[in-house]
Amino acid sequence: MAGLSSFVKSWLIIRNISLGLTVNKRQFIYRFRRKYLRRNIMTTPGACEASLACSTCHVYVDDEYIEKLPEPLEEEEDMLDLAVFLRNNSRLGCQIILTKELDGLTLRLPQATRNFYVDGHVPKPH
Amino acid sequence: MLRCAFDGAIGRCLSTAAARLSQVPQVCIVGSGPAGFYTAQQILKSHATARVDMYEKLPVPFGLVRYGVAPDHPEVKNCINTFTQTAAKDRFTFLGNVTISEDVTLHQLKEAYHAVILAYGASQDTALNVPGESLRNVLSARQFVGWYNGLPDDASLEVDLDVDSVVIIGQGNVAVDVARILLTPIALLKKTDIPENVLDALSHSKVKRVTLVGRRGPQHVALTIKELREMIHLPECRPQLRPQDYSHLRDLIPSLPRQRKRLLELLAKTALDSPEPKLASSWSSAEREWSLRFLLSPVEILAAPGGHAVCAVKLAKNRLEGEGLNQRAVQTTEMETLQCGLILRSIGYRGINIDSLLPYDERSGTIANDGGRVTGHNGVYVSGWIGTGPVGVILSTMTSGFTTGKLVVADIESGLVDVSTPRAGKMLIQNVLRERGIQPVSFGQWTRLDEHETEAGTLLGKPREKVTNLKQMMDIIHQ
Repeated sequence: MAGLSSFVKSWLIIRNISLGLTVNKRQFIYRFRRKYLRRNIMTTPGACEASLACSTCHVYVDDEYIEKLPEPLEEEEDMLDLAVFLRNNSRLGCQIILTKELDGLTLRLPQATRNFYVDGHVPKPH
Repeated sequence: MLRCAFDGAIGRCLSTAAARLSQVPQVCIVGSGPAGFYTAQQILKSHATARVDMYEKLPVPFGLVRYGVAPDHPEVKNCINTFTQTAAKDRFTFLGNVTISEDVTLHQLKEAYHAVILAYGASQDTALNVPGESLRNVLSARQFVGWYNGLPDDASLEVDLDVDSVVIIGQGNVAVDVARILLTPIALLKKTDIPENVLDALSHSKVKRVTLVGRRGPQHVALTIKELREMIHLPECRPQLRPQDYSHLRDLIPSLPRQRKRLLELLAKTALDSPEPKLASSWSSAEREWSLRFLLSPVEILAAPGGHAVCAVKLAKNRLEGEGLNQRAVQTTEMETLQCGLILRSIGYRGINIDSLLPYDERSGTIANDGGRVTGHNGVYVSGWIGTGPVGVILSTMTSGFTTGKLVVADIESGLVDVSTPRAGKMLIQNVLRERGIQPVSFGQWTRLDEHETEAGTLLGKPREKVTNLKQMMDIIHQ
């Protein structure tokens, strides 16, 4: 069961962005800065709380979506330099701002932080 | 919640109660920095009944987040928010002002708890071990950081800033933090949580030049790109880099992994290319400077004739042996002397040993362990730097904390840690403390001090004014 659950917990699909955030029933949730949400959703590691001062929210963005994201700021690149298991499609989760265009966005967790969810809170869509 | 029939079944109820109590794992964590808190978080999350008690030597929690992170990097301290949430949980208790090994022994902790997790970090610094190291104004960067961060033990550090030139041995982020605090205009530092008396000392500082000396070459610097950028853009300050030290970098860079590439590209650009106009203008009017020197190892620290304070450092030139980024520095007989009025050594930290029975590794200053389980001590674990060695930023400490937390829970569930016999947990330890006349500080009491510091800071236009005297801390806490 451990093997299955660690696979199952390692990715997240975001749908129905126009209605708010529907999380595909995973037990960890990502934090994204989103100008329409009044509160942010608790995440897996987000030690510096989206201030570009750590790399704990490091995620891999599925290929079809990586191009849709705006270029990372230099500060994000600087923090990504410190992340482990870096790949070409690595980004910091806290810098991904959700738009309708990103509906279906699929993110995967790097080996190091997989399963390190801190809070099982599931947000209510609004 | 016991449901039992009356008379005659009382005995059965009591044994049921005992059985249920015995299934509550009692866990303690020594150390309240990120390693301790991330471990606690993981245990509380992964086990439904485990109780976690956290012991801390100081009256205040958070370890290096409070006392190590530079005052001008407040965002890095945001992790305190989740730690505070953890501290509020029912199954968690913070006990500050308790020094394990002095007030309570490891043996007593093992009696009281099913699992003991050592997360007390690396509080000593590595010495240079060269003649002259005990001269005045030869300090460890660790002490200097403790001083500007208000650590009680370093509050009365004697630092003479009435000097022109500072040499820092080491080129990691701690070295850069120290350089940056020495060179940042005081107007900017006044807005941080540096204690008032330190700000006063810094405002009278005559320091004009800070040189960071490294044993190997620029391709081996341990500092990271964010910190390098800050130095480049430091107001009223300019870099003084010798182009010949960096000319080989551009050939090296293409073959390097990403982390090194961007950092070394920036270093090469800063040393070899002309700055853009805005930066050029800022540099040309700068009165302070920072520099990096490479392939040098200190062999002797010198005082002026008849003097007791440092005036210079004699360094041996090194050459590099081996391949790639793991080259070693080998001393030659060629020497160089740098004049300086203050030396700070910043060549690494070491953990201490809190019990002679622990498998302490003298060479690395860590407790020997197998993936977190302390060798030869069932039920004793390590988390963070005391286990991994003193390298890494919050991500690695978080990973270590979460890994140890998961391991402890797995060992409880598999029976490797035997929780079938109930243990008294903090009740036993509180008795020990009471007998010794020691009053542990609760998290709620820390909150009182926290509020005091924040209010005092507001009056000064700072995030907080830290209380740096232990007795004063305790007075405020017990008000």
